[in-house]
Amino acid sequence: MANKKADVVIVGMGWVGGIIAAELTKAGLEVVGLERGSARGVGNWADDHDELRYAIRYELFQNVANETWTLRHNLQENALPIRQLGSFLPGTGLGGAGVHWNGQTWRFHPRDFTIRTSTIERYGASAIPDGMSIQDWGITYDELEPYYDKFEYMAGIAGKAGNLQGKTVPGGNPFEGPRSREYPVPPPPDTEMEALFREAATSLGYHPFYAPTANLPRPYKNPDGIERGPCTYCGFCERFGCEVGAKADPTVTVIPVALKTGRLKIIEHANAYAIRNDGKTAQSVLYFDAAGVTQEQPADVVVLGAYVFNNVRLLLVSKLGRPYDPVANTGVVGKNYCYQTGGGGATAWLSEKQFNRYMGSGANQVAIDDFNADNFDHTGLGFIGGGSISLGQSGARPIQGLSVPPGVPAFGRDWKVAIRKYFKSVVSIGFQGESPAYRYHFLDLDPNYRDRYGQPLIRITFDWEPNERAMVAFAGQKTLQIMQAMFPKAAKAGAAPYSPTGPDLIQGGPGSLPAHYDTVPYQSTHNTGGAIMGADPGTSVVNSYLQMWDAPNVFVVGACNFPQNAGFNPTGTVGALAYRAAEGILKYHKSGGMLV
Amino acid sequence: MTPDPKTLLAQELDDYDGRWVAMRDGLVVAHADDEETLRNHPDVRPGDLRFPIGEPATGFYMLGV
Repeated sequence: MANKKADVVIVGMGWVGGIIAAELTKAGLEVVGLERGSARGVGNWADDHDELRYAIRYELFQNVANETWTLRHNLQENALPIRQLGSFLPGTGLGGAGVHWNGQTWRFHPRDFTIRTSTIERYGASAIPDGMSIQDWGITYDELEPYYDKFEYMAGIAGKAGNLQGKTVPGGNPFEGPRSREYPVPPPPDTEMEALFREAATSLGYHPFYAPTANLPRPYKNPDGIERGPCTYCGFCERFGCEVGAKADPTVTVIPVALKTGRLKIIEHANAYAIRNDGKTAQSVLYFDAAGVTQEQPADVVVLGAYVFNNVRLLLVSKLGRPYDPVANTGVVGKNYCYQTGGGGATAWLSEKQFNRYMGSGANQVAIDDFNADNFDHTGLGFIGGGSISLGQSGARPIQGLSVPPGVPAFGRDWKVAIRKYFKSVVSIGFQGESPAYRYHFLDLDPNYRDRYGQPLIRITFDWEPNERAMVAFAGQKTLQIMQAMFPKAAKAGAAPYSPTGPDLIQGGPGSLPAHYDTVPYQSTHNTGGAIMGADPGTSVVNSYLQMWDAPNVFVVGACNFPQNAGFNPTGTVGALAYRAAEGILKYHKSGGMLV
Repeated sequence: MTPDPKTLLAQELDDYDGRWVAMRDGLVVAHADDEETLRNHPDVRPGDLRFPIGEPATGFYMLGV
C-alpha cells in the first residue's frame, strides 16, 4: 500500500533536498524527504577526531559493497566495477555530502554559463577541439545571481567581494561576476603561510584574495533565524561532520527550518530505485525500506536531489527522458559527464619554518583566479579553460597530512626523522581545473553489473583528454612560479639525493596526468553532468528551473545539471540552482505547465 | 556499433608513461624524455600540444569533498 500522497517528494536530503524542503514547507507545502542513510547532526560529531574511522575507512560515504559504479575509459573497453572508494567520495546520510565537505563556496564566472558562445566569440569555433561538447547553460550568471546571494546568506559565507554591482572592490576577486551585495560575513585574517602566498602572488602581478568559506570565522544569524557559532580551527572538516556547527551544512541550516514548520517528513533508510511514470508525468517514487521491502511515495511533484550518479540512474531505470547515445549523438540523459581536473600543484618542504598546519579549517585558503576560466588570453596556448590556484591551511591530520620530500624512504628511521622535521612546515599550492564535456564522456546503465537490490549500476565512460593535459602542464608552471617566489632560496626537490641537513626543497613544474583516469587515488568529489540544463530540449534534460522537458512535474537538481564543470568547487552553484528550482516548483505547484 | 573515427578522442597513451609527448589532432607525433628535447624535436610544429604523461607528483593537496 502506498504512503499518504504528499505535495512534493524529494529523493536525497543533502543541500539540494534540504534547501528545497525548507523553501517549500515555508510556503505551506507538505513535503516527504527520502534519505537512504540515517538521521544525524552536530551531536554525532562531538570530539570525534577519529581519522582512521572517518577519513580512511570512509564512515560517512557510500558503501560500495551495496552500490557502486563501473568505469571504462572509452567505448572499446569493458567497464569494471569500482570495488573500493578512492577517486571520489559520495556521501550518504542526512545532509549528504554537505556534512563532510570542506566549505569552499564559489560562484562560477559569467563566462562559464556561456562557455561555448564566449569561446567562439573570442577565439573562433576552431578553438574547441573535435569531440568536445561544451554548451551554454541556458541561464546566465546575472539570472542566477539572486540565488547565489540567497545561498550565501543562508549558509553564512565569509569572504570579500571583488565586484560589487559592476564595480571592482580592492581585496576581493577582481575576476568574479557582479554581486548585488557584500558577503554576509567578513573573511578571517590570513595565516602565516597564506600571507606569504598573498605577498608572492602580488609580487608576480597576480590578484590574491581570501577564498569564500562556509566555515564561520565569527557567530552568525541567518535570515531564517538560525544561529551558529564560530570555527575552532580543529582541522577536521573534510571527510568529517563539524562538531560545533560552524561549517554550514544542511543539518544545521535548512533542514531544521523545514522540520520546524511541521510539514517535512523525513523517511530514513529509504533507498529510491524508480519513479513511477507514464512517460509524461510522474506519480510516485518507489523505494526499498530498511528491510528491503518496496514502498511507494506518491506526490504531485517529484524532485531528484540525490548525488549526480543516483539522479541519472533513477531517470534511466525509470525510462524518464531520452537516454543519451554518443554514437548516434541522440538523447540527453547521461550526456556530458564531467569531473574536475587536478594535478599541477607545487609543494615545499621547509627546514626552519613552523606553520602549525594541524590547525585550520576546510576552506581556509587564499587563492588567485588569474588562470581560471577565460581570465587570461589563451591565444597560442592550444587549450581552453583553466582553474583556480590556492594555498590553504585546512588542518593536517596525523595520517593523511604526512608528507615527505622525494628521496625519503617510505618507512623506518629516516622516514620518522623526516616526518618530525616537516610535519608543521610543508606547504602546498593546489590547482583545481575545469573539466570540459566530450561527446564520448557519459553515463549509462551498465549491462552486466547490478547493486544489492538487483538494479543496474551506473557505467561511467571517462578519460583525460589532451586539452586538460595541456592545461595542467601550464598550471604547474604557475604554481611553481609562486612557490619559488615564496621561498626563493629553496632547492629543487629530487635534483640531489635527499639529506636531512639539506636545504628547503620545492617540488613542482609542468603538471601531468596519468595515461588514463585512475579511480584509486583520491582526486575530487566534483562529479558533474548527466542531467544537464539548457535552453533547448534537444540538447538538455532540464530547463533553467531544473524542470524536466519531458515530464513537467519532475525536477532534477544538483551538479548533474552542469553542462560541464568549472574550475571551482561546485557547492555554491548547486545551492543557487536549488533555490532556483524551489522557486520553480512553487510556481509549478500553483499553476502547472512548463515554466520556460 | 562502430563509432565515427572523426569523433574518437586521443589515442592510447600507456606507452608514453613518464615521457613528454606532442599531440596533433589526437595523435602523438613525437615524444621525448623531457620538455626541452621535445620542443626541439623535428616532428613538432608550433601548434602541437605538449605535455608530460604520468602520475602527478606527490604532495599535500586536498580539493575538498
